[in-house]
Amino acid sequence: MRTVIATLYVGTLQVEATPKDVLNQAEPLSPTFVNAASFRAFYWTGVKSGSAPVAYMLRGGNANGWQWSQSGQIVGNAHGWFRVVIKPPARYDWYRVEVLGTPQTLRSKIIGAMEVAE
Amino acid sequence: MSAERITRREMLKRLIVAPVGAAALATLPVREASAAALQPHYEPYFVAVLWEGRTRCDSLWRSLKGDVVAILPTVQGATPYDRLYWTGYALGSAPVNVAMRVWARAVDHNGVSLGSGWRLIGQATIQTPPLRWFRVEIPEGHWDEYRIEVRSATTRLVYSRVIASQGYWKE
Amino acid sequence: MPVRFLRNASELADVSWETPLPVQVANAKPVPADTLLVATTTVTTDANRDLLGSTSTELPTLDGCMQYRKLVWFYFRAGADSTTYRVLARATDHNGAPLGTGWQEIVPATTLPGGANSWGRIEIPASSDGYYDQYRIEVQRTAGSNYNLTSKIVGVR
Repeated sequence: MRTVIATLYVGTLQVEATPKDVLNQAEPLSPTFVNAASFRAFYWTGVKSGSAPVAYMLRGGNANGWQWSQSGQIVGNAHGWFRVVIKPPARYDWYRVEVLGTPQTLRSKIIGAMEVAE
Repeated sequence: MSAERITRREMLKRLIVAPVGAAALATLPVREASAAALQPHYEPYFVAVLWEGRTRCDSLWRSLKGDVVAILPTVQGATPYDRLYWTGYALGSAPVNVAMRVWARAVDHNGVSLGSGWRLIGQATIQTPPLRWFRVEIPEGHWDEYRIEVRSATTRLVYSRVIASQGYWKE
Repeated sequence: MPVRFLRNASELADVSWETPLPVQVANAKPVPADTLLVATTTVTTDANRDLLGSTSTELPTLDGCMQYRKLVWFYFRAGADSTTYRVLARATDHNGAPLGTGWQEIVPATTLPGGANSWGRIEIPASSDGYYDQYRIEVQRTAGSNYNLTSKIVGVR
């Protein structure tokens, strides 16, 4: 067994006052990631263009709906780096990574950690 | 140094199977071998025996391999391992009082040490009743080479293993 | 009927807790810890000077580190002169370009432990998980004279 890191998302998102996920999907049932049950942890690293905090909401679930959520804030100076570590309490098939806040640009990368057999 | 071949059944005849006495520890935690108390969130998935054999301990600091040459490692190629364990028992019927210390160093691509000497990882004293297992956990892993030294005021034979594990952290 | 196996070339043993079947896992091997850097640095008073001797603050000391949960920095310092180190990290996109300028400071300026001719070991990060793509490790002498710092950095999955 060893840990393998997979890049799940790299992109630039315009943060707005209404919530949407990092793929710019406003529909609250739309997942950011599917088939994600093999990941035990996610690492979200990026740069925010503004100084205002960005609120985030993470959800885990499946096609029948969301079963878990966790929220927080990304704080930091303009053009500052951030890192959010996500360790869900259980493995979910779908995840949604949602943000909202004062308009600014979020350029970020989300990687997932999973165990694979050698 | 010759290793005595001992069957498991023979070994059990010689030992009293009971929870081992914990050794007095200075820096390194020494635990009861039968309890096998690994940290609850660390799970080893690969375990290797790096060395096994018998050491005659006397008043000099000797590597488990028996030498008093300070530059020689006891085990090499230990880089992949998160942690090491030294476990064994002292032969003889007298109470055990064996001091041990663990040194470590890193080497370059040619296998040459980065600098002189070693880093002292820790030390412990094994003070168990006779014929009891001991176990010392060496939690500082990923060094390339380790030198494990033992010393005893009275001559003792210690039969031991150096085990290394590679694991992952379960959330 | 108990399961038996031939042990010691002449003795038949029942399979039991005491005498388990001798089994070896085929092809099992440890996941290697990768050596990412071996370098000797002259530790000077220059600010923002990394282990490769570079003061170009946008250049990483290590790249391609996404797979590593942790880096382990082993060093041998020839001098005891007061020294601080700090560790910066960031992520890159698929092309290896950083997502932005600057760095996330994951270890602020900290005293480098150890005296003259001593060994040190520092885990990066010390307590959380790494998985950053790039790291920049800077050292700066704050007193005394220049000395050599020999480092080896290993990536652990």
